[in-house]
Amino acid sequence: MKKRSPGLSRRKFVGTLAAVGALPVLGRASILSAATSPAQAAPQAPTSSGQARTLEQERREALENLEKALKPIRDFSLSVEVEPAFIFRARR
Amino acid sequence: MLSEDTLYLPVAELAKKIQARQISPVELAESYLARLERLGPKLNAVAAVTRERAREEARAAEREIAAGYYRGPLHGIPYGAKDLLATRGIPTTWGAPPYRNQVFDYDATVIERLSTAGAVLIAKLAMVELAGSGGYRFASASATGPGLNPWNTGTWSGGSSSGSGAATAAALVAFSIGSETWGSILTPASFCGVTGLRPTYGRISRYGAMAVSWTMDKLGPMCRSADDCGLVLAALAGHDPSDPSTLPGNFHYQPFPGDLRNTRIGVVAEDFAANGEPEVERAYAAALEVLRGLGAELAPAPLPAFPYAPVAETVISAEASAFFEELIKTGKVQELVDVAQQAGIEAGTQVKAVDYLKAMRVRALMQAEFAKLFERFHVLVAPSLLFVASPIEADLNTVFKGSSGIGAAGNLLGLPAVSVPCGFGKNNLPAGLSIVGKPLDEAAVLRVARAYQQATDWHTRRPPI
Repeated sequence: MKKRSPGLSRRKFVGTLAAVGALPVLGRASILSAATSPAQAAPQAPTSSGQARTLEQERREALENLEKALKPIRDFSLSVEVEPAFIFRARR
Repeated sequence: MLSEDTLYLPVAELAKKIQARQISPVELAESYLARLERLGPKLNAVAAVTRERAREEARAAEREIAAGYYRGPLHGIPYGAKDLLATRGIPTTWGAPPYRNQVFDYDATVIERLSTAGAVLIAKLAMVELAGSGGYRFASASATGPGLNPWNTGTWSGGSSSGSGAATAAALVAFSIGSETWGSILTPASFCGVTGLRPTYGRISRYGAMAVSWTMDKLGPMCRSADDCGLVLAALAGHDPSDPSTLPGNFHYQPFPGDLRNTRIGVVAEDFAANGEPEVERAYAAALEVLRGLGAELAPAPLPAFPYAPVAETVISAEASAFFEELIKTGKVQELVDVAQQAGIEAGTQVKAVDYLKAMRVRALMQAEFAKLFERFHVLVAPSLLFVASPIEADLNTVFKGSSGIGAAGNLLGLPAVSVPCGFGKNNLPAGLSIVGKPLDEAAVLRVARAYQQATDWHTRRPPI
């Protein structure tokens, strides 16, 4: 069985967790391409640090977070024998 | 009306009184309904009170029991269901403005099975919109407003099963049903000081439940004791032809009377210094001592090294965006309350098939490594969270940064887990201990939880509401 890619140390892994957010059902990535209407551009309620955020900002951050989440998966080294964990089971 | 003391009784105790005809199911339902209507709005815990259905079911239970037909421990017991479960003729909003008028013409299998067991549906309970499918930045991400914690209404009740946690903690219902994809039962259970069970993936039918992730969603009970979780699980578990992911075999709950001798417990390491609160760390350390005192053998359980959170993130992103494709296409996604949630749901459409499949391949390796871990331990334990409920206005991306791998791993691998109250942190807010088992071993998880609750009284404490 192949192990994870080198370089994914526990310290780095914890950093990745922090970057992508975590419980409960996490932060999300976003797309940059969708149009932003004036209504969408209205800022959300201020954060605890006092900053208001627009949909465009959230989209940018979500995209960055998605890339951060995908990197350790793309870097992960797998042998050709490993098949996806298909949890759904065929039933007659 | 029945007293508050009665409404706080565990299901097992209420059941004995109902069976002995010391409590009338109609009076019990009316008492919970009154409390629900009085306190539910103060906690933003209720999506809809199902008064008519409740009275009908309670009257039926009363008739049957009077006629000598007792169905079992849930007969005549009032409960609430997270508002992502389809209920015939009653709005099912998924906590989100775009679905405010949605009504199904059938009951979810869970509702159907509880009905068969004789339980009485008294409320659809509030939730984070779409169960947080796209992620969310604020507790306010719900059509019913932020879920308020009965221990301190300036703090969050947790998500996404916000109403289920708060309503159970405040005895607005005898028990509730929540759902978890990644943390949505254990988080509100921990924040609200209740006992929440996330069953094995496939244990309970998801038919009629909104999907976040078809391969990760679980439904489970939120109660005021581990025993109650066992009783509710027994009524719900089993194969359902309408949900092909359900597993064969029923679950029979047998309360285990003994201590924890010969029980090997793996302790998952957590970095409290970096991410936690010292008061929660002390409560957790004390909980481990209780387990040791009960005779359990505790040893460190390092988790196999995998990118758990990134894999969970990828799987959920892709599957949730697929489920909400129509919401995105029609532009109704813009009606969601939380801007981060809008952005997140759109973002999942950018996950490539090759990345999704790679994540699923890594998931397969995780399964194999965890099987080895469970050869050494009967259960694993970890703090449910390293902190207590956050202020209602807090940025949740900041609050939840650096959470542990066991939450992501447990959900990716469909492992059963229970969160039990284990003390209090700052501002007298509850902390939770999580007990995680191997697939289909809810019995072990509940056995440890029950032994812990026999030795402590944290689960009996009531919020000052």
